[in-house]
Amino acid sequence: MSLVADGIHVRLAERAVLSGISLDCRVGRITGVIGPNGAGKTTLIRALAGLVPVVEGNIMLDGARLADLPPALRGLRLAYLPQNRLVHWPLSVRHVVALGRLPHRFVGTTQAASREEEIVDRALEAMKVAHLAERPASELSGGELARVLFARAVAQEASIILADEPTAGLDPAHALALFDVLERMATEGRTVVLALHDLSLAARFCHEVVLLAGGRVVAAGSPAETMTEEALATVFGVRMAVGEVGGVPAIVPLPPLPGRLLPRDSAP
Amino acid sequence: MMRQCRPAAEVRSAGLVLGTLTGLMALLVVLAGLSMLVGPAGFGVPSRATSTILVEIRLPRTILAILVGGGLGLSGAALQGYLRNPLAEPGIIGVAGGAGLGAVLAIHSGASAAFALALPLGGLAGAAIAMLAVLLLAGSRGGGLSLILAGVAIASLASALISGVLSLSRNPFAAVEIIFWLLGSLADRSLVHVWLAAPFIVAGMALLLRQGSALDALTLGTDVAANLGIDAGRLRFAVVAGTTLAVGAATAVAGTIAFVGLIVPHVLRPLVGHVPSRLLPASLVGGAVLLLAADLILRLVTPAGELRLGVVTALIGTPFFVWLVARTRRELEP
Repeated sequence: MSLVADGIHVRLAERAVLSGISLDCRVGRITGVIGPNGAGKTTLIRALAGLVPVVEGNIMLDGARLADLPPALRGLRLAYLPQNRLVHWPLSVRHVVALGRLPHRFVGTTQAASREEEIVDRALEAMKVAHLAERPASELSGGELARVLFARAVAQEASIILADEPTAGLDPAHALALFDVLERMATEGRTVVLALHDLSLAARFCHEVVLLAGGRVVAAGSPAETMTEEALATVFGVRMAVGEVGGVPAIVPLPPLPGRLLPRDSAP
Repeated sequence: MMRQCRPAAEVRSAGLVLGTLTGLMALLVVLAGLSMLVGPAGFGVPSRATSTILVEIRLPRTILAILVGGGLGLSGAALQGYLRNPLAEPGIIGVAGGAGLGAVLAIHSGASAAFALALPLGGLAGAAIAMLAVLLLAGSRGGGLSLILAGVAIASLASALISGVLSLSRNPFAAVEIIFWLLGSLADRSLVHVWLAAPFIVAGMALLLRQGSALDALTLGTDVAANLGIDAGRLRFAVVAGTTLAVGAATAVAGTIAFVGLIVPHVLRPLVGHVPSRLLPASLVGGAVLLLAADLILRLVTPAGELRLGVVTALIGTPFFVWLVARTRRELEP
């Protein structure tokens, strides 16, 4: 299922946060949204999930307007993972993951109880948290909780995954394991859209990259096209080295050149 | 190895939930039976001559204890789940205050002296007005915090107006009647009170019990709940309206009864695995049990009814709160 934003504008508290964003997230691809803090990455992901009102433009799901879909149907089509990893009550891990089945219950596409259990089990195993199933979610480490919350999105069985900084706070091994799952999901025919801070991971795993600054798209395309030293330096206000280490892309911020003033205050 | 452990743990947790509910139901039946047998007219099964006492006095009292306690417990669980705050209780959204004010005005104006049902009817009207005011003030798009702020504002206003009515009361008897009524009681209620309150309380309970899945989803925050198909506006209206129906009608017939809506969900939460949807039915039964027990204690200690129900629930509630503070402090201390 493809997800297309067509010139969307979003205002939050009377302030324009996104201005005329267009992007095309295609099936089987991982689309990464990158940009400095405050560029509008989180708002873009939330808008694509239908969580903030779009004042102008449209978000289309396979040609149908997202705004026209009833809430429960949206939950069947797209799974959203926020950046904050919030579990208000110490529910068991199994319970948290099973919440991903709620849209199916609301729409009436629930399967037999044993099959529902199986879907939750599979999600737990995919994220390697099956051994934590009966533990209260409040007692987990940050990395474990991140995987448990991702397992909830897996259990949702939506065709589009929208995740805001899914690797934030994860150690390298867990971050790579998560991208492993994301790549598998994309290969299976899902559409994956991520807001990412880690430029090296974005360059390494995303098929498409959208470079965002000040609520506008500065560049979009393959990582090689968009993540150039010049474009990144302009948007992030820091000199960047784009290269390869051990055969994988690596992007490293550099100190300013001698004789030059410190980086510009913020994005253009 | 873990796969073998899982079903056992699962069965244990399901068993605990089922055991909790069954235990509470059994307790409810026992206490309801006792409630029918205990009173100033004596213990034991009354003879035919005194069967009037059974039907006209003890039956309404028992039914009201179940309805009022159940409504308070359930509303407390629903509000704590909705606001994701274990300190929320039905009084926080102002409808109990509104019901109290409506009833107090009915006493003060003399309407209740002329027509006994004016008092509960005034309470119901007060609760409805308070609910509309809170919903208007909180706005349709605001989150839980705006609801709390609006509720606290309306509750404070209601409490100020009640004090105002008390201070303006030139008749000391009316003032004493108001104070006694505010302390909460189930004494001298008739089946008419039951018929008046039951439809509202039962409707409120039905509405709240249906919000279980939505409250479960809210555990992961409002954005994820919305992604899982929860309509935030509808959920908020259902929680506020359900609480208004249940607590407004309960306050209208029984006065203000503190702590039930706060303590009951607290005590039961660990027993149902902290799952909000499981907590709802458990808190309904638990609230009924607590209020029946409190009312029984009251009747055994002061058969003439000098002590008020709201006082007893507060006396039970305060030590619990002290324990809660001590436990929280222990957990927070390094």
